[in-house]
Amino acid sequence: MEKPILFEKPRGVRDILPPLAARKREVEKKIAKVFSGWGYEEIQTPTFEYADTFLNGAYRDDVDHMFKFIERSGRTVVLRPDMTAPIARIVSSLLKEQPLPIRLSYNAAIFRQQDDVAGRDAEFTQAGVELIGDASADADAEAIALAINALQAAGISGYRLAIGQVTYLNGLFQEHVTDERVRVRLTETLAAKDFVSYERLVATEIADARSRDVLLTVPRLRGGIAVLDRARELTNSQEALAAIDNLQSIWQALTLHSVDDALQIDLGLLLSQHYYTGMIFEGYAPHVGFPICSGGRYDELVGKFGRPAAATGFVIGIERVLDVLEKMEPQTAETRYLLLYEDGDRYPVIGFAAFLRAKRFIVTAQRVENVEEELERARPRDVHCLAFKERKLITRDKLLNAMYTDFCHSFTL
Amino acid sequence: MTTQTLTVALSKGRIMEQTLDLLRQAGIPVPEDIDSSRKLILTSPGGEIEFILSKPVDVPTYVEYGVADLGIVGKDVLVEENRDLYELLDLNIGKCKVSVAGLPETTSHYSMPRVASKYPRIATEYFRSRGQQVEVIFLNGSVELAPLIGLAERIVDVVETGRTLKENGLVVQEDIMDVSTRLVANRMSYRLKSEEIDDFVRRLRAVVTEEANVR
Repeated sequence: MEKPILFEKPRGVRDILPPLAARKREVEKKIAKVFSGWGYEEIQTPTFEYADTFLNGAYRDDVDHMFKFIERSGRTVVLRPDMTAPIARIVSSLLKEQPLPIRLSYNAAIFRQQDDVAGRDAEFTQAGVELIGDASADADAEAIALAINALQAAGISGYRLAIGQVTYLNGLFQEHVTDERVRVRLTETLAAKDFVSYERLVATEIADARSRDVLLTVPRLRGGIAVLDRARELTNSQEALAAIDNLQSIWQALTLHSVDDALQIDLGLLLSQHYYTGMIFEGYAPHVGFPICSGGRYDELVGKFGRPAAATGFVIGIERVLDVLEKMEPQTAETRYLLLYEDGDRYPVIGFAAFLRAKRFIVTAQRVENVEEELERARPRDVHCLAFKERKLITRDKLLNAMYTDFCHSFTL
Repeated sequence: MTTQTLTVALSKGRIMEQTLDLLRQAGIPVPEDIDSSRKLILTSPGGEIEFILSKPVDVPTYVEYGVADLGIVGKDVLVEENRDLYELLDLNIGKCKVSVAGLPETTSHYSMPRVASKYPRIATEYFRSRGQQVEVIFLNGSVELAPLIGLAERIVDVVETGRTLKENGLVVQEDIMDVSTRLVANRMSYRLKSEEIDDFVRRLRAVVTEEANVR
């Protein structure tokens, strides 16, 4: 294999340069503020853990996609491929005395080895929450409403969230498809978003005309609350009907959260994670072809760590959000001040810079050999250059002149 | 249809003419000069739909990245490119097969037989699933040439009428998959433009079903 060039990086990782890094931090802060405003407490977990933590309950099929290495003891360790399993582990161990429900949030780097390059990083940042120990529709509505509030706070507009219910499909398939292998394949084709194969499967494997009609209708069941009435007509399955009731309650709560205009019910929706047991959702925003957030209810997972508890949650892809923001509006940089000075002017420049920073200006003091020469240099537009020469501030910036007069008075220079 | 524009990536070449016929039958506005123009981006007369004309193999890429909301492309390309898209409708046109072909009486005795193909993923997956070890050689075109000049014993390629194979003295040995033209959608567009896309699908579905009934 060819030796990498000195500045090369592994596939799927990226450097984030200024000013994007600042914007990223800003977005993370805004989202974290919404999370904490809803009473979710931040948690941090190790970057790597035993592979067994993530394989617990064998709920995942992405084992190949984990970054693995061997610890000195010989045990396999992986870079975390999600935050849900570590949080389930903590709730069942370190926090096992803490009464439910527990609300936790995080902002963390996630690692996955990707097959395809398109829009998929090997290291990416997820901001998310988990609400553990509440099985109610209110909890699911809270998760969805919180996701929308966080996206809004991050500055995203024009987004849409699709909501589905995995038990609706389960119940419906149980009712209309007798052969279990066919049920599995129907689920797989829907999850792969391959409606053509799904319809072909229905046409060849389902003998009953009414069942065929029902199964062909399901992937097209999307829209507003009215969709639920149509979905109800398709089934007598207790499980499927309970799923519709559940979505109805969630929707009612969401109208009170005033977020229902950004929502669409999609009963054909399935997500790639296998641990979901109820409501699921996925969000998109204009200009970016990949989901910016996804989540749902996973009532089985926490119990696999020893403390059975219902749970719901979601993640927001920070890099995806940044992609959307960059396409929506170019970043506007804050004005920065650069105070240039020569040796003789160290006093008062350092003091003046501190005075300005205390008033929330962004200020850099830079010692130079020759102030006049430096003033001639081209600089970014958002950098305002000021120079000191023999105790005098040279600038036409009225605000800064006034500030300097203030500074001189307060220190009787 | 509302004023919000849909962008549709069309595959140039083999299936273009049939695709346009189908779109017109479905009452989807198509620019009049789309057959003759050399432009790569064309807008329908009413401005409702923008069409991008591209090489078939690039259609899934445009759609996955969201620069096109919808794409019309062969199943062979979809399987080979393996992008994360909604596959909404089988248009029942551009029907052909992806097959293994070779010279008539060749049987592979080599420890590592060679297969030439424009479809390295399909070829590799196929032989892997059958437990055969082969070396897949990627070629960009004229794949039929490979067995004739001894580059590979077999090829994996699309077979429509079988005429090209026949003229080059090759025969089909095994069929790998049936191919037809599909309508695909970007995941974001499928959500954000769901009304427009559902309408587009409904119109096309109506004429596709008709065609199937005639047969």
